[in-house]
Amino acid sequence: MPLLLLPLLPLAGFLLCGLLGKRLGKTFVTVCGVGSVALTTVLAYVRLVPYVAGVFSGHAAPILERYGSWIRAGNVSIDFALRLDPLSALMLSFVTFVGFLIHVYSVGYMHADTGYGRYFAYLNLFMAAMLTLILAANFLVLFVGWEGVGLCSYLLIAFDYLKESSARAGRKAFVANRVGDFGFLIGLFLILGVFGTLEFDRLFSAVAASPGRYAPAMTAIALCLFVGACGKSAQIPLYVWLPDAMAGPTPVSALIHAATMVTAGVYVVARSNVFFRLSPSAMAVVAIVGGATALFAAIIGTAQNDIKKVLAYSTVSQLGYMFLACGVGAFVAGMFHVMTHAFFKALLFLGSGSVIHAMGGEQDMRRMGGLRRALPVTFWTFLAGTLALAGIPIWAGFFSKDEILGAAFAKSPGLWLVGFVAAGLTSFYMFRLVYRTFFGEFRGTDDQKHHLHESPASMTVPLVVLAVLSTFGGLVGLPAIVGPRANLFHRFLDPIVPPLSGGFEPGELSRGLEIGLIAASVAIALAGWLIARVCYAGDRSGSLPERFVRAVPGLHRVVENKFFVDEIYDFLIYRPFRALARFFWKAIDTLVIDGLINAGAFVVELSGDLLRFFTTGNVRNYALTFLLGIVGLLAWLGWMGAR
Amino acid sequence: MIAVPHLLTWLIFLPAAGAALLLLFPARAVTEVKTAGIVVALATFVLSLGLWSYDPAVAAFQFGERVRWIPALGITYTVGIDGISLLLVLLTTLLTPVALIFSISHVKENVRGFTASFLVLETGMIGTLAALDVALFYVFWEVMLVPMYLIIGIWGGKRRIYAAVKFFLFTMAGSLLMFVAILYMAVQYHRMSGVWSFSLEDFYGMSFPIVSQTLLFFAFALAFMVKVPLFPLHTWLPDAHTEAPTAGSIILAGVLLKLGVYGYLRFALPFFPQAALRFAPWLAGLALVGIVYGSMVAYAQKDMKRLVAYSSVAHLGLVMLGIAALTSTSTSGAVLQSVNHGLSTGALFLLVGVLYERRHTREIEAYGGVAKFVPVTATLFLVATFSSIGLPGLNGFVGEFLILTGTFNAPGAPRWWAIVATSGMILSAVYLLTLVQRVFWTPVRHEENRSLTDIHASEFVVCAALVLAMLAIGLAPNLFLDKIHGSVDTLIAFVRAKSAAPMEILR
Amino acid sequence: MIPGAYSLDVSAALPEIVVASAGCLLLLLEAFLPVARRTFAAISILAAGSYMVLLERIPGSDAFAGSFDGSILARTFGLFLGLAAVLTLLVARPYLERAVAAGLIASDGEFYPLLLWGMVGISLMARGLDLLVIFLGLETFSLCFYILAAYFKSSEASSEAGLKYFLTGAFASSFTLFGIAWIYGKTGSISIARFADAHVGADPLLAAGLVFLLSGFAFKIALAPFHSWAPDVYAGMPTPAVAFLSVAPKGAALVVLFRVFAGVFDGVVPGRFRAALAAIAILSMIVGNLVALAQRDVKRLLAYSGIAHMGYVAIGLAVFGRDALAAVLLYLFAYALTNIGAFAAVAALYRDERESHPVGLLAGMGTRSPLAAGVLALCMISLGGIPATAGFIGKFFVFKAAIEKDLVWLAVVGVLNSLVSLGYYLRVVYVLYMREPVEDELPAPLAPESRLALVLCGLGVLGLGIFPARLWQIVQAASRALPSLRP
Repeated sequence: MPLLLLPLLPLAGFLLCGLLGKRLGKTFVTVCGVGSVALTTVLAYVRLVPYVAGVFSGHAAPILERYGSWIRAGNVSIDFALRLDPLSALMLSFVTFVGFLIHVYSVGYMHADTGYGRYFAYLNLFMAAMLTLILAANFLVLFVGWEGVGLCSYLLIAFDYLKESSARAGRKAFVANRVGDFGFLIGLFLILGVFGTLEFDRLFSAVAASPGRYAPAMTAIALCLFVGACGKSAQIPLYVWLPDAMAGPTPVSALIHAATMVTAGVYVVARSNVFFRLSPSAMAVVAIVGGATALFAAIIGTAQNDIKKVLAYSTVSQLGYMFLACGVGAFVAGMFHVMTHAFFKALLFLGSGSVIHAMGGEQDMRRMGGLRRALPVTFWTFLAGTLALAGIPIWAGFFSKDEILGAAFAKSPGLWLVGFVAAGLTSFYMFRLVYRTFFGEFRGTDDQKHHLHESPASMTVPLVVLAVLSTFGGLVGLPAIVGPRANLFHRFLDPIVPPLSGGFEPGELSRGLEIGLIAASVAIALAGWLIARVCYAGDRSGSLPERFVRAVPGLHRVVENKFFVDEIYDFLIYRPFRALARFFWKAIDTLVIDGLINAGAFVVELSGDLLRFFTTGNVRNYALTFLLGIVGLLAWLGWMGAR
Repeated sequence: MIAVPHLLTWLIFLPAAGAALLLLFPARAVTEVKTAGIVVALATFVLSLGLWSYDPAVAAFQFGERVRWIPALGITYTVGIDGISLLLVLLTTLLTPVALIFSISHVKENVRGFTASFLVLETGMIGTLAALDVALFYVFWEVMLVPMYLIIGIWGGKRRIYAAVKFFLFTMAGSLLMFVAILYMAVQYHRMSGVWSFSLEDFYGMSFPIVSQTLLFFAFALAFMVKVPLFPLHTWLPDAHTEAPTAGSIILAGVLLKLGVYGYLRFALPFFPQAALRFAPWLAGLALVGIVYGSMVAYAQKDMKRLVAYSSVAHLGLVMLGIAALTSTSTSGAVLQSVNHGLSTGALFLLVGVLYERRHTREIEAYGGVAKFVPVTATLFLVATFSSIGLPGLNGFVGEFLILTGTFNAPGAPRWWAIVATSGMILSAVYLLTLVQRVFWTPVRHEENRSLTDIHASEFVVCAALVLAMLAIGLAPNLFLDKIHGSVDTLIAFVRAKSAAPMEILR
Repeated sequence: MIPGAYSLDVSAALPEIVVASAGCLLLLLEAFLPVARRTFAAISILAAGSYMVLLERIPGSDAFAGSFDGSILARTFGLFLGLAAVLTLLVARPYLERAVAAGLIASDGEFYPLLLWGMVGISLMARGLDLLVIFLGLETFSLCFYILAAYFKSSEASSEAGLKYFLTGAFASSFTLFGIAWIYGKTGSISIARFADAHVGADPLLAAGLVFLLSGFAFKIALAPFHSWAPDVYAGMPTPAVAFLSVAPKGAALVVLFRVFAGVFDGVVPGRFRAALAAIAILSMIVGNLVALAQRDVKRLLAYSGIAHMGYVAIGLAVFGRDALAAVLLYLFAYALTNIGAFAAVAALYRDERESHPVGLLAGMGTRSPLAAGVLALCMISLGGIPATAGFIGKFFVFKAAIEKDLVWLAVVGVLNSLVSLGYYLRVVYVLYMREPVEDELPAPLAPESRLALVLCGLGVLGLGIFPARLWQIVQAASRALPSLRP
């Protein structure tokens, strides 16, 4: 069974739903849309199981499948090829599965929507693109998937295209991504220039063979690729599109803007870790940007009232963690967090979707409260997700986040501190969310109250499955203290970070220090929980924050308004761009260029009008001009003896 | 594919013959005239498929024919096709029936003249691409102006006359000096060799002292830069596009502009390599200005057609950049990209036309949220948009990628060229997606849009044909690149060798 | 002198004799058998046709003691002249019938003889090898055309045209004669062939004589600054007569100038003289084109366009040499087809000859009178020098000749001018096709002759534009007939 089949199946689903969906109705769409992804998942695991077994039994040789040359001109020659190696295997495992669950969930969530067929067409197309992205064997095929997921994200964010906000958000997302792609492409050009190929195998083996030779070129390449990653994975300064992307249907937020697409940037950095590790400065940039984003987004997350906005900023912040991990050389840890995050963040979004569903589209937490009675399944699963994200022990997030913090401390305590504080904030805003949504009194309208109901099975079953994964999924990556070979995840993924002489090496931690750090992060997580409880639980709910707000109103306004970053961009980039564009059009094009041309034409016309007056119609003047002509000729011929 | 004798001659003159035939029809027989015209155009297209048997392994002109025309001056009717012209010819034969079929339901008055003009135009375009005798080339090159002038001027919009005259005079101004230059070269050749000739090979063999070479180069380059059009010679384009009937815009953007690119590659570059290489940076500079400036002005437009027109300025800037860099990769990409632009911009104009024919306004503000009422049109428009934005999997990406990477890694070219040009990828997304958003998305602002009817069968068929072509080039670009790059390599090798050779001074 | 020599000479002049006597015959018929008028056009066409045929039969040698050219140059020119005459006559008949019907004239009887005699005069001019014969021809045709200019007696414009043409024409002829006298005085001969023997090429007095001669012929050619008469005369003169006047005599005058200069300078025009001719050429192009831009009356527009075109031809004169003459002859053929075609269309498209001919009245004719409008548009494009039309071929060879003599800058001035000229030629085209009709009355239906004339011109313009090779051979051969011309 060729790997190519994996992207092709959803693609077929896309074509069927897109072309025939309208005519053949919902059942057909459901069958094609969900069926194609289900089949893909099954086939994916058919390929995965033996491969994973193989890796654990010691031969991790990647599987490469070439399907012939794609682009061939001059000195550029790119094959269409897919590969299966530990990294793509990992992504494949959860992308297909989570993707499948979310398709199932969507059946329930979108059942009433008129754009049902369109929705599943886009979703299938997304799966096809995402699978191309993760299975690609060279950077250009990867770029195909990279742009493909961008397209789908664009289409799905603007799914309710008649809503101004959705339409704008869609464009914003695509343009922000394009800014990233700009860097990414330059990176590809550089790579082509240096290596003459884009094949992962050739590139990385070439570098591994003679790191010293290529090291100088790596900073530029790595930074260019990282710009692309910042676009896709919503890092400072390009993160602004992701919060707006919540305009899309909630399952889309779960699949694309939490679990899969947005982690593509981390995937690319991990994929090309060989490049990054040869450039300490690039690593530093990655780590700092990641850490900063983690903290910054977490802060904003504490002051949001829209349930999805909170989760969105949480996603940005968690992505920051992943880059932080890569930046300190803990690529495997970063990918570990990618996986666990995929589970619990998908769960949280789907849970919030279930809530929004029950609330009849309401997203403002100020009108919620006490929902745990009406939505038991949603509540318990959501709680599992929260515990995972907050990093409470044995829940998945704990292991991954903890490993990242450890690696960060080993490199620089400063970065660790940033991650540490962010962890506390994370725990705080998540429990704040839980308390405001599921505890206390219901603050919504009465008919909302009557309308409250638990979601259908098609929605709750995926929640349960994901809850289980979020709870136990972390156990595949037990910390080293448990035992040297206890961490299956590392044993599986370590091959993707080959030894590299002179390359960046992650720091080492003493056993005691490691335990200390674990304790610390557990403590801060519990602290965050506690503060949230004090602030938002019980009868005195909200009084404390209000006092806080009254104490420092300015600070609160800044945070609530996301540090006015959108406004700043609008002022610094958008407005000047528009003004300049209009100036070019009105001033340069119309006034100067056309002005000159029309002026020339006018002068010609005018001189014609003037010359016309010599034709007076008076014979005497004709004779005169005649004579003048003769005189002129004679004079010129120097008849007056001047020869 | 069965080989047709004199295939090229058939291709060139079949449309013109068809046009002559049409004039025998009574003016009233509208339907007959339309069908006849479309049949001729389609027949030409089918014939042109015979060119696909072009063999890239043979790095020479194929399907060649030569007939003496004005023996006293050694002017001949010489035609032939190589990898550079092949795809452009096919593009021409594809877009002409597209334009005619689209117009079936939209052109009302003087259908006979309309159809005949398009067929004559097609003859001019194919002739220009196939001519291997410089005099013959010039004849076809100028002949194209007349039908286009009539198409814009008779079937165009409100300011059609201004636009038509501007188009004619602008392009004429460009090419008149080329006319003198051609004569000058022929005279020099006669002095050198004692025989008269205008044939391409003979002109390739000549080289000129740098001063006269520079002047000649400017004479040629001006003609082509106006046609492309390169900033700041582009201002005829928005007017011509905006006022031309949809079918006219399709051909104008689809083919006519490419002839500037083609002419530069076929004549200006190999005739005057030293001058061309010396001024390549200036060419690239203008191209880059065109990319950024064109994109930004496009963004500022309020009229759909003007917006697409300015986007052409940007896209062709990219093509010219690839030629200025003059690497095998970038130049092959440039040739392919000319075809791509023909398809995507052709489709964009076609779909704008679909809206215009129903709503009779090109103002972006007059639309909004129409995707709800014309979903198919909207979908096709999105495809065309992403093709022109350069989404991988569609045609635009392949060309852009090759041009950019070829330019970026070109030995002669500074890297910032490609970097600036790559920013065009962002800008194109900005202005085209803004267009999509304002026209097809966002709340419905005007009630009259609710009654819009979706694309007709005839319109859909031709648009679908274009979309298929986009996919074909996007997914299997080698089919086309393999035809192109042999000839491109030969050209570049020739140019480099000739520019390296010491210049022998004439008399 | 050998007996019988004269008979031979007579046969040399036979074509002119036939045409002239045909004119006399028509005059007699007009006087005594008015019913025969309907046949006049046919008879005249017959005469013009036989003129061409007989020219092919004349002995190749010079006749009348070397004062009358029988060379292939004469025959080629005769082809041009006969062509112009036939086309004009085709246009004339329906036009004049309309004029009679409109009461502009009592009868169209005298038109044909006058035209034929004018033709004879032109033929004499072109074939004359000595200055007196040439002057004789000049005066003959001038007199005929003074009358033809004023042919619409009841029309003020026409009478004015006649008067102006006569006054200015007389003025110009006097200078011609003056010049002839000076040249004779200096060279002691009126026979062009002898000038060379006098070896006085650089003499100032001779130069002055040449200037007077040149001015006289430049007047007939309507080269600036000797052009002023043309617009007024064209505007008032009956359109078919203008068609002929705007082509045939100009050709003859150019041939004469070539002959004289070749004779006097023994083939090589001195630099200053060439510069003077170039100046005249440029002045004509610029004045013609710029002022034409400002014209609103189509006949005045064509007058100025004619001035400009003679400017292009004068480039050939300035370049000088065999290829230049050939190019000029080719240009004349092209110009004849195009210009007569244009006037034929004008004659067909305007109803009322009392009024002027504003371009605006052509609005919408593209659909109302497709043939005439189509030919007019085609001729405009040809005058604009767009390829695949005769006009382009003419310019092509003239500019090539200039560049061959290293006068690239003249060619550049030429092309820039033709760009300006497109400004007004295109205006006519768009008024024809892109403007809504202003008049509700439809134009008069086309008479068969007009159709024929229009079709012939149209096909001619395209034919010559696409297949010029044969004609180029002919004119090249003709250009060799001037022995003193250098290649």
